[in-house]
Amino acid sequence: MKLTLHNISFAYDNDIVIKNIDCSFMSGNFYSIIGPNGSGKTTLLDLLSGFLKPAAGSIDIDKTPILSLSKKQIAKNIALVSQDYTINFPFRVKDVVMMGRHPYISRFAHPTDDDRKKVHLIMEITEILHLENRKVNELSGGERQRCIFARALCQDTQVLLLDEAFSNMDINHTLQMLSLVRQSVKEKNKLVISVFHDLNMASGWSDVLLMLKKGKIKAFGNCQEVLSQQTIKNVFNVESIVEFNEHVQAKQVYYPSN
Amino acid sequence: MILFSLFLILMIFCSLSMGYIRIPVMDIINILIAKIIGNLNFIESINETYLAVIFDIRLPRILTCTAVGAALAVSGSLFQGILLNPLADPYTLGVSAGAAFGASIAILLNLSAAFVSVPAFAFTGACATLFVVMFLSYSSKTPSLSLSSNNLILSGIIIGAILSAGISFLKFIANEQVSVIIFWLMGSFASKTWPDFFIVMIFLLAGFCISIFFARDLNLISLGAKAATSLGVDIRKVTIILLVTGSMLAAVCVSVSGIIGFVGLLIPHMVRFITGPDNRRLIPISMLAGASLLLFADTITRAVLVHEIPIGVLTALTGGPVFCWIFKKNRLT
Repeated sequence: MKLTLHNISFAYDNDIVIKNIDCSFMSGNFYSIIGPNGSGKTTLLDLLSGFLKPAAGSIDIDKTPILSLSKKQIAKNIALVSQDYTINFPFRVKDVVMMGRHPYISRFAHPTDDDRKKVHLIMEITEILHLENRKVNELSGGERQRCIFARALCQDTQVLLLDEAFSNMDINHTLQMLSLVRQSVKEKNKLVISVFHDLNMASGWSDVLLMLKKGKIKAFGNCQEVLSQQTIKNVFNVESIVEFNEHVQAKQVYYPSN
Repeated sequence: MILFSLFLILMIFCSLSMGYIRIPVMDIINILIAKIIGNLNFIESINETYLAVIFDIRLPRILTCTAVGAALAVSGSLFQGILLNPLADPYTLGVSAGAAFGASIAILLNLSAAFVSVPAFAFTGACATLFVVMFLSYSSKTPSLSLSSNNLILSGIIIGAILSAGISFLKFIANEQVSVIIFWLMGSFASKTWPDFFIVMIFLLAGFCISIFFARDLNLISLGAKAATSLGVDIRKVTIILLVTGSMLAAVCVSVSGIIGFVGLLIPHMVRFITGPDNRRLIPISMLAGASLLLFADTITRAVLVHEIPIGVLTALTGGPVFCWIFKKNRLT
């Protein structure tokens, strides 16, 4: 599967957030989007998930324009874990995870045994099985995030979009979820696009790095080629040292304190 | 759910037998069976007045009241679901103020001589208000972000405030008709007829079917607009359909029986403690509970109290403190 953006622009009222972006994302790769606050990272994911309509340009899944698909068809192809994970009513964790099966369950039908098995399995591997009967609005931030992450996995899509999906998880769970994601990319040929703030995490886990600044692509390519002192200075305006780290088997960024 | 239905049926019978003239339950059952079968043999032994009281006075009133209670509760659950706020009610978007304004104009212009026109005006007022509120909160540039709960609540409050001032002005210039307006606004089920019941019932049935049809989508909306969209819910379509449904239910209730507060707020809120937040269970149970509660309140003002108190006043006076108690209790835990 291939997601292609043709000359995409988007503006909130008069603030242009995304300017003429042209790029494509291929299955079997783990992409990271990095960039300063307000550079359009979340907006880009919203456009990819069909939540926002581009002001100009088009987005295609393989050869089909995404806006020609119904919301339900999109939901079977693309799952999104958004930054906002507040849930307004006290649903139970297992009910929230089951909502990930929504696109597959017809209107008045009940979840099948397959659906239940899938939900159970995913709750097990995301380590929220012990929370299944808890109310979701009583969980800690990290637990709720894992619950939302599990919901997106239950959607069983080819494309997974992550908007700072690990921001509140502890390091143990972050690493577990990341290895889960990378495994699905390598073994099941999935396409994952994730927004990160931690450059080292992005470099350590993903294959391709997309650097955004003021709605434009500043760099797009293999992590190990793109990440450098110069690009970081250009995009974030900070001084840094970039070195290959053999423990991570990837380039890592250090910030001198003076 | 079966329990609730049985309870409601039981209450209808109790309520039928209570009142200025006490009628034994057995007679009521005989009268109803006779009417349904069309065989008048059953009722030969029964007093003629009983027949008239049951069939022409109490039954239409009780059934209208039940239907209104049910409709308000369904409407309340829908609004709480769409506005993502357990404190929303059918009147949050100013539907009641719109209906009241329409009714006040009809009364002021003395259109009430033609029986239908006060409810008709109230209904028109409510619909007009809904469309203005939706127009205000809609923006074509970012369609998926407009009609957000904050926009809707804010527009509803603004329009509601303008209309309240309008109602005050109408009362000010109304002179001797002011008492008619005030009584109408306080709500009552006195002298409701079969047509009133059928109108509410049609709206209730349609509204209930639509709500159940979209109940699962409404569950997903509580995850937030973005998450719901990514799970395949066309959030704008669902929001508009359910807003119109909820508002129509509220509008028809207000038109028929005046402004009855707290049923639409309290019932879904309380039922959620029993059923949990899943709208597929919340909506039907709320409907039955709303019907029972309003019938209970109406029976009290009709048959128990010495003077009939306007039902809107009674529900607010009793529902308000109950709500305060629930609210406070939830804050503490």
